[in-house]
Amino acid sequence: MKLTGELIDPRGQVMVNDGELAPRRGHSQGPLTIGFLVNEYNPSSGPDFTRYTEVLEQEFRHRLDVDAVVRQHKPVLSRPAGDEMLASFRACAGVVNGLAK
Amino acid sequence: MSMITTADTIEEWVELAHAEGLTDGLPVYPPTRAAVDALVAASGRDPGQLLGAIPPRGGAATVEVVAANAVMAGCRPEHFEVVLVAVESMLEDRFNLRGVVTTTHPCWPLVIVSGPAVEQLDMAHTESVFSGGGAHANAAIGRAVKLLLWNAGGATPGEPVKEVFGHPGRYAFCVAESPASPWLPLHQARGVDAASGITVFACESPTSVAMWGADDTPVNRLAQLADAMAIKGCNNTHTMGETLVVLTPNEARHMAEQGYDRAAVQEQLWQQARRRVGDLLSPGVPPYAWWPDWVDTDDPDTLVPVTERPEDIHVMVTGAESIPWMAVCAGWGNLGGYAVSRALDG
Repeated sequence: MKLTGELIDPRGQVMVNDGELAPRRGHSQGPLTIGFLVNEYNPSSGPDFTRYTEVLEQEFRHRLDVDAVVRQHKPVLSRPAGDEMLASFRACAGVVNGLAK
Repeated sequence: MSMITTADTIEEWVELAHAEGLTDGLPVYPPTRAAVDALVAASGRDPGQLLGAIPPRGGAATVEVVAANAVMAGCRPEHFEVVLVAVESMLEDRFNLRGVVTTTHPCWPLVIVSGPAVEQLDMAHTESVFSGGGAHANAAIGRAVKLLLWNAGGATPGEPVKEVFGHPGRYAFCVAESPASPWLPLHQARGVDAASGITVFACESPTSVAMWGADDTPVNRLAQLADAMAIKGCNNTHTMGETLVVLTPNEARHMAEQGYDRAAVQEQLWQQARRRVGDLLSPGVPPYAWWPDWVDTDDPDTLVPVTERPEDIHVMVTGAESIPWMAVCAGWGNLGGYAVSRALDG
């Protein structure tokens, strides 16, 4: 059987986020605070991201002169962090988000 | 709209579709311009209308792109509106489509059609309903949703889909509610004021619950179902969320004759489908943070329901009339995939 004419691409064009990145912040704007948003409240097994953020914190303090750290744990890993939790990161220059699997 | 590499014959197209990763292993129809245009025209919508970006890849689900996938699935023009409304429903935030398609858990969007559309579309609603029942509409609608998530969403196993075991419904997962139900159609029970509607809910394959040993009293028959809803290891048992139960029409009529409406079934199941805190947590394992405050985790005898509220237990009626039977399709738990209902003819 012969096909005639064009075939329509079923994948669709990838929609890109055209938002702008936040400006970099440093000590010139006051004390430097970094946030950690841990995706799992209680790691049931395997690597522990909370422990990993503690190691990262030491590195950030040592190498980047980070002054303070905010650490939060999401109660449900697949849901977005709530407004109150996000507000606690407002003073942070950057936030590291993840889990360890 | 971009075109894909052309094929001169059906045989070349089938091989091309496999080579380009446009299908999950089953053959698909070629999305020809004429066939796609026919579906778009039947919808009465603009082909460029954007329904949203399908996660995780972010492919733009325009009406034309959805139609291309529906053609590949074998949809007829009259099936297409169901597919479009299902896609719009899955893109609501509460469904968490990105999570549903990529999770390690074996859930997948189930499309439930209810109301007069079931018979208008010749949908199967008796024997083998969860495997399509031999009907064109059930298979094609479920397959169209699958192919859209595969192609526009890029939901391929390994990267990014981390589903550990998989789910046979990932080929096609669409059922129709029985017109013989004694209760309101599911979408109306969920507040959608339209004759026909759809409900999408991310869930596991059905687990059969036969009425072995149960007498005729609704409480005892629902206890049988409740036991299957609250098995250990099930996401609902440990995290709550939403779940779906299925009653055959004759089982539902039996309940109705005993004075049970849908809400009464939900309430009875909510009371019975529970597990002790002490059964759910091994010694030394801390209580789950996601349980509501009213769950007394200090008392090992506290009974924890599988959902936070009775209305989070969705009750649908479908299947054969030969034997009263029930089933449970466990949800993803409190992680998402929550039911979304929309009108078909509104």
